[in-house]
Amino acid sequence: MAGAGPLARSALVLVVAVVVHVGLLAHITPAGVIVDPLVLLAVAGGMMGGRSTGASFGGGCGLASDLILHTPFGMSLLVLTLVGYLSGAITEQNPSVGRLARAAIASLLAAGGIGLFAGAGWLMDLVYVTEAPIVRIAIVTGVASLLTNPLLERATRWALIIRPRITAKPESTARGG
Amino acid sequence: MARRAGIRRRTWLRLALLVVTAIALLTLDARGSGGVLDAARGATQEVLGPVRRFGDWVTGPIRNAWQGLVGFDELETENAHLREELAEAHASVLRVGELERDRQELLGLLDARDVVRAIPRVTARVTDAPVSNFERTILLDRGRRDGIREGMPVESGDGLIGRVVEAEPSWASVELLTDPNFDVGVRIVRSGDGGLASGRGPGRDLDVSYIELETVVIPGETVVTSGFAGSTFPAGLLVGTVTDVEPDAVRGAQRVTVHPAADLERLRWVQVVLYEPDVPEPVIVDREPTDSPADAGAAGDQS
Repeated sequence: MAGAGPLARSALVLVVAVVVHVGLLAHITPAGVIVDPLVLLAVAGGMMGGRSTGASFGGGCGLASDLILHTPFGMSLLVLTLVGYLSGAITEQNPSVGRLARAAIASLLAAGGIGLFAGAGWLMDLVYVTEAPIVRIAIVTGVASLLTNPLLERATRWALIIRPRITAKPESTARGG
Repeated sequence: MARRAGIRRRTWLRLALLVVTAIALLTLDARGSGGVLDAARGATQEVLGPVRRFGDWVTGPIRNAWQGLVGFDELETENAHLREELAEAHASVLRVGELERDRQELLGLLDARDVVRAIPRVTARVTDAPVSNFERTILLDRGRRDGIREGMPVESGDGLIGRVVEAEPSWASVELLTDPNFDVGVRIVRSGDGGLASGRGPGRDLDVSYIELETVVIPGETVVTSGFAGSTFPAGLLVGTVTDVEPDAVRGAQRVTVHPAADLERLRWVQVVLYEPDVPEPVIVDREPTDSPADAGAAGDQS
């Protein structure tokens, strides 16, 4: 797998995330909330790869999410593409932040991603989305992102073939993303 | 500078392409023409089925142990509550018997065959809670191979819980009756008046509309499915009990609130009622070829 390109590596990371989601996280529900690793990955992908790579990686996460959820097909693709793009855009504005600050930003972005999903649900008049406990889901997702960000950063760096220390100009460091 | 502008343009193009693709997929899905999408989703669920079951098997003991640790106080409260309920149940046995007699009598009066008991059922296990916080369905470990089809009613030992919305060879998903999209024709047993029960969201009671103002409805009355012609639900499935009645003079009807009989929060085993409604055969009208003068004239003009 070491010689594989970013597309194959990203696909592998997404498959692992889906298996972890369905096989593990769907059964462990802190505060009654299921943590969606694809939202966290979309954020990490955007933060590591920049807005362009983030949009694509987020899109991949969204497509994978659409395949396993019963929400309208394309909804997760739309939301996670935007999440990946926005994560990249925000990180590009503040490229030289420390690891802790990055984790905190990722946490806020992940919580914001849940808000964006709820907003899309509201636009599509999906009562089961708008009537879900959005604030609780956003808080738990944010905390989960804070705790797992180092691992997710490492996974997305490997997937997108990004050298660890260069984060100042992510667009120029992501190859083929 | 030009390179940066190029990168920016490419980024915007990529984003636009992804957003347009998402909107196209949403449109296809909304129009119900997403056969390929449904097939892809079905295949993914089929592949992930064993993963879900394995995860459930592995995490089950851990979850139970955790529940035992953190839920001890809750368990004690629940025990006390259950004891109270048991006492109430003993007291209401006679009343239940009376209601059942009422139900049978009413079904007889309405000439609605009480087919409920005769319909075969498939017992299925609820494989897991949903995989998302925004999911509105539960999954069963039985599917088309066991005779389950879309639209079939699903009940627990206590009453109706929903309907099958998707059936694949080895699994099926069920829309719960509290879902805002869920509607079912119902009948209030004592009065025999019919209405439409609709879900109002998880944890909330059902709303029954179209009950006439003149009908006397008393809280505590039993509500069953009406099984009108073409309905995917047979007559006589227990839905719940009336908890509130509110006259709506503007609409000229009563708004009746019904508490579902089944506990939708703790579903482990359910039964799919293998009921397929009698669909009236299509009437085929043989049309004799008409040789009206107008037709002949038109044919002559064309030639």
